[in-house]
Amino acid sequence: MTPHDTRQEIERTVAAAAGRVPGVASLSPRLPRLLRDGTARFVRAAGRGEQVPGVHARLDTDRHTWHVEVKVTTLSGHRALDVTRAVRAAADGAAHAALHGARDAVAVTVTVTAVV
Amino acid sequence: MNGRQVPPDGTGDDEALPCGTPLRAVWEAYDAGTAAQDPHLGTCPHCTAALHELTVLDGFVERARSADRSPAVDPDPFTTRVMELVRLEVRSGPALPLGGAEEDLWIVEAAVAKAFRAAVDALPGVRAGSCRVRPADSGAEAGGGSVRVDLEVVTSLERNLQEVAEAVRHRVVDSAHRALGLEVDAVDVTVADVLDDSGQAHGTTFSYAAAPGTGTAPGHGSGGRFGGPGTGGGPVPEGGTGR
Amino acid sequence: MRREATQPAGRERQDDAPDDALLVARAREGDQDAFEDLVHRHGPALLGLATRMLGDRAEAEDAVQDAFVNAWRRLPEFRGQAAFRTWMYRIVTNRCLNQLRARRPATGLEAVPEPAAPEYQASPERLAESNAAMRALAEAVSDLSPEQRACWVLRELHDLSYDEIAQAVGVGRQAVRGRIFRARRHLTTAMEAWR
Repeated sequence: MTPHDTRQEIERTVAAAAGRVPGVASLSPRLPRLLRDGTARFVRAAGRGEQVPGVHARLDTDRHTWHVEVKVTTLSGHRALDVTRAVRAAADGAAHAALHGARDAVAVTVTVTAVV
Repeated sequence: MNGRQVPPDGTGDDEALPCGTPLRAVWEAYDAGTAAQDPHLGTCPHCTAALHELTVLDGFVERARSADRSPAVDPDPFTTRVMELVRLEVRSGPALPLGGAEEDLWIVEAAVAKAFRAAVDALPGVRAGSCRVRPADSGAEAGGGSVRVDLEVVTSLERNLQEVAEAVRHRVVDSAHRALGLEVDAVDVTVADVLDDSGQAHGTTFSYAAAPGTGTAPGHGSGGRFGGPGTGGGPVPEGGTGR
Repeated sequence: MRREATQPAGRERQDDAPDDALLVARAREGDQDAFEDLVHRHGPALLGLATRMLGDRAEAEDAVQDAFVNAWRRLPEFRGQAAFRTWMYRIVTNRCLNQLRARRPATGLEAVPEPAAPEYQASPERLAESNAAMRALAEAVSDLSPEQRACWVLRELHDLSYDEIAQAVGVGRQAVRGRIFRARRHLTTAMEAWR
């Protein structure tokens, strides 16, 4: 598998795992910018280079650590800290599974972008 | 119908009626509500006719006003349309640390502020406005992610401002712990406006600063200002000793 | 007697509705729900203004939508020197004026349809007559220059003060009064047939 394939697989599995965590309302896509042309038209393009909304994985320059960034919207009624910890655990497990036993390290960052 | 000629700007302003009264003066008297008291306006046929013309127009204007000013219905498709665009432009502020410093868990300022405002709004007679949340200076040293909160509220006059500030602070700390899991180092409450029964703001500013859990009773300052030296005067929490 | 200057709809304080200043403070800090409340509250009046100015509902919706999106972007710099409502009136007015000035050469007077006044006047259908009168008024308003129209609509249909209008249109107070006078002069003549 190329690093590109690995990246995509990590992102997909992490997104699926994070989305199942109780208290997660949704993963938060990176939003496209409005075209500032002063008209009502805009392009609803997908976030640049973001295939999986809300999850971004990249291989560190050391080539051994995968940095996985997860952005979530949480549900009120669930403590944000507990939800992010559970998301991190789920993402960590999913990323390692996606690596199929490779010895690469995984570092997960979780950000709550909104509470709904 | 003719009369499609619109007087261009800067001309026709001094148009006088056959009686010599400027038309503009007649209409301005009508606007000011003084036309009835003026003996000439009441008797002069030219002025009366000019007033009548305006009254006729006013009847149509009144109908146009009510047509133009009907409030939005629910659901309101126009608002939905605007918000589809606005929601693409997120301004969520910086991310604040959740949990321990090494945990790499974050929550954006806008989400924290929203939770705090909702908690404060639940207090009767109190409404939260601006709510800024930033990492506390002492937080990094303590090895955890703690924040400091600057909150503006409006409240009704009959309430004791010191009690309000205390209740607001309590709600914020409680919401931070229970809803978010965020450590709060200090809460500065500014009563930005005091509302009387009619809802009129007095524009008075009161400020109250304190840290949670210290039980410090703030002293009264002059001019309704609480909490000693301005809004930055929150006591240092236990454990967060000086450098 | 003239109507009293009424409290605009957006300024009414209800127990469960935060006032504009509070919503603005929240929206400035990124609270989109607070901004949504402001759009919902002020959208209808601003749409009314833009429709009177541009004479076209679809164009008006685009104009007001863009004005709100602009306002959202500029909120962080908005320090509440003016009320939110006045600020929005200024943004929308300015946008409509620019749009009208840009299209003025293309739209001559001949493009404005003649109002069908006399035959409706005798109509027994009061509703039809009343609608026709409203159309006649709208057409007479569209005869006004963009600046006259802005001043008159803001004053007569939206109760802005002369100072607020002066700011929104970008002219002096005296010029506002003069424009409103000339606008009325035209409109009273145009509506004479509808007495």
